[in-house]
Amino acid sequence: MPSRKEQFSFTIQRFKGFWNQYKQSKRGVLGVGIIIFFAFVAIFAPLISPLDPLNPKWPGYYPGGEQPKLAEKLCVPIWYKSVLGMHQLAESILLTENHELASRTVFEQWVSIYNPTYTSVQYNETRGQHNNDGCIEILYKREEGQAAPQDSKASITFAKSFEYPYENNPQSFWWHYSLSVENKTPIIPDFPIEVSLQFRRGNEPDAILVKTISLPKSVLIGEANQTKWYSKAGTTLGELSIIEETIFTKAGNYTYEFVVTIFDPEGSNSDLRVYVDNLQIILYGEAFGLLGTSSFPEASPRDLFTMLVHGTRISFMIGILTAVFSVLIGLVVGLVSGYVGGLVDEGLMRFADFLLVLPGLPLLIVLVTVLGKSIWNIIGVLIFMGWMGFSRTVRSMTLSLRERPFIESAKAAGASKNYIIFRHIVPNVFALVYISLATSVPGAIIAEASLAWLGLGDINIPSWGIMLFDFSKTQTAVVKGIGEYWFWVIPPGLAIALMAMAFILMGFSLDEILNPRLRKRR
Amino acid sequence: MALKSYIAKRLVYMVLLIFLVASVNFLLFNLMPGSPLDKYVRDLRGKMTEERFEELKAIYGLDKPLHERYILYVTNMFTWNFGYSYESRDYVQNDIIMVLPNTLLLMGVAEIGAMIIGILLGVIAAYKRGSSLDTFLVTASLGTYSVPVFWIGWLMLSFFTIYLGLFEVGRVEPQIWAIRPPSSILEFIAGRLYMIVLPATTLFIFLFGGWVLLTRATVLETITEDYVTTARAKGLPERTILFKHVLKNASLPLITSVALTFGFLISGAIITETVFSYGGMGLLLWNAIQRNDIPVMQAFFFVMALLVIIANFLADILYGVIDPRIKYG
Repeated sequence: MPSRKEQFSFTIQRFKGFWNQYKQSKRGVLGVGIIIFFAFVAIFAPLISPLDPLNPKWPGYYPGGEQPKLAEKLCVPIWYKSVLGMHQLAESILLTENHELASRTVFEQWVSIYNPTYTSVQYNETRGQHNNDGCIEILYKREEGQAAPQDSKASITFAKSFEYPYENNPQSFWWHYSLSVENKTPIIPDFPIEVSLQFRRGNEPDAILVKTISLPKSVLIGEANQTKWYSKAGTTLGELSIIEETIFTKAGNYTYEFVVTIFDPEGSNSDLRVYVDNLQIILYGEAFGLLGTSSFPEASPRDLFTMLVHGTRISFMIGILTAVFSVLIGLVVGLVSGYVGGLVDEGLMRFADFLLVLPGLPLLIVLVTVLGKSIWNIIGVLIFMGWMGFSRTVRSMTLSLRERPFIESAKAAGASKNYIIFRHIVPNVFALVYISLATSVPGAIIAEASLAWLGLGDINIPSWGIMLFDFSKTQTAVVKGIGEYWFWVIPPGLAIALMAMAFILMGFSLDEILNPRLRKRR
Repeated sequence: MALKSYIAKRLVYMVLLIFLVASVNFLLFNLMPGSPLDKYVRDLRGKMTEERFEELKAIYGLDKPLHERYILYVTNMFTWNFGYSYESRDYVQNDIIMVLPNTLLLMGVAEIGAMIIGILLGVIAAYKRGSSLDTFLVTASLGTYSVPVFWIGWLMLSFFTIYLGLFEVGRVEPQIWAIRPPSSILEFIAGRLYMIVLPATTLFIFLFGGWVLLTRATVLETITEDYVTTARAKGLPERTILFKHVLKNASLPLITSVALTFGFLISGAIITETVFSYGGMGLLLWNAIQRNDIPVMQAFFFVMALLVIIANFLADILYGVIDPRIKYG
């Protein structure tokens, strides 16, 4: 018996010989190259694009509502700016990287404007809303007998300036803030606090008000007078949808101002603290990522590059699982049918013939409709419908092998049926297994994409088919064509075609080398 | 007569297959968990008149025991009685009869075109095997083979209809026929063909690669045969050798393949019709999927399987007529 090491080096040698033959086929090498590239992308997908493919959101703690979505609507690829010279396109801007005010340095980026007679502002290191990190603390105090401030209110403005470098206005913006009130004396007014969001262009004297919100006592103070946090997120789309255009008319310096107004009619809130945390503004742009974003689903437009990268994994999974299992079933059925023969053979082959007669896509559609649209059902059905062709090939090979002298002699030497099948027949048909593996993959990938496009895909899976289905959902293909949306339609289609083609090329080249029928001819 | 008994045998086999398909249909729509057909009908209670509802229940025999239901179901399939679609407010068979010819027209035009061009290119590729033309043809065929049909369709639609404004889409007949019906049969044919140019081209692109590859492979098998060398030695012109000696002998697997790839053709047609909103079986199915219209779906599956079975039957007969081994065997 050869040792394990010898066996291993023999395998290596055989593989080298095979590769020397294989690499003469340029098509085959191209196919393998493309597959290796896709495999690389599939393995490192989370590193290449860390965003969530299906439901991407801006990260961070935003208790005032849903996580902010990645983009407002369809965004074009970001390189339109440099390559096509469309420098005016706006990108998304986050006002602050660290809106949770976790450190004093972040706090110091905010400028506070207040009347020192009644109010003071400082950084509180532990009273933050989340993880007991920092927040802004406003102290409002009016000594006994001291006159109330003018108009019975005191305003504190937190201002943070930022540069808006784009000529185009943002598509919309999204704001967030959290407030908490702690009172030593009872609060009298029904609406003790008012917050205003406003922007200031450059050094203009007047700020532009976006929204003013009066906060009722009930949302600020809990039942038993305990303190609680009030958080709010909002977007200006809707009644104020033109405001983005009127504020950001040109590139330049802007200041975001968050104004807290404390109402103090004579003899009421003479001693209270207001904590402010999680101040954020997101200005949604119109260019994002390497391939832009989709406009579907509206609740969270998807980053198309991420979808494309993650779709590689799904296509590989579908293709390879389907190929492996359908080839395995085909191999077993073919071997049994060919070697056992008789009624078993007749039964299996009639069944295979019958399945071959059934039209593929209609059966797939019907089965997926009946079983449900999960990806596992789709793979299962693809396997169920993919083994027949290969089983017939294996059967015919087995039939001819069975009559060869070396099988006769093995039989004469007393070899068992299993031994003959596994030791003599399987190695001889195994070349076909490789070919069939390669050629089964593309059909499965395209079938999944077609199903998804017809609306029968698994919408919880970021596949290329789902990308195209998203696009078909917007109905733009029929109305406006795909020209303006090419970055949504062309990449997934090309990716499907490339991957399918790579496997076909590989199968084609393997066929030329390994298929005994073709080898004879050369 | 061997041929007659051969045809008779094939005919019996065909009927058996149709019966099996009807049974599979019964299995899928009645016995699968959740019993889709049963549920579909019961969900309609109250949405339609009581008589309609009872009629629908009677068509599928929903109140009868399982074996009676099965017999009734298979009989219904054979007698083209598919039930009533609540969504389209018509009997399913009427819908199918309306759109089936459109699909057959589309499939026929595309398949015949793909066969002619594909076989021609395949013969050329095989004849010039190893040349750069061969490499190009094979690679291009493999390429079209691996592109999703709906994607080709989108590209065609965008380019020709939306940017160039060349073709109408979304219907089967030109819009103008609504006001001014075609006056002559010629005009009718021209109008219908005009409307299927884009879908048929899409389907053609999807199909022809397969024909090129298949023809190339079968021609390569025969081109090395001794009788081809003999023909060459006789000094026959290359064209005669190729098309009379080689292609004629290579045509048997090609004919079989027409039938075998018929399911493939149907898949392509379903998707193409959906892309172009061409009113055929594919669009009917797409609408049924959107509305979960079970009666249409089961009828669709049955009719499509029927088409494949008939195509296989016809191919078998043709095979028998052409192949002398069967005729005199």
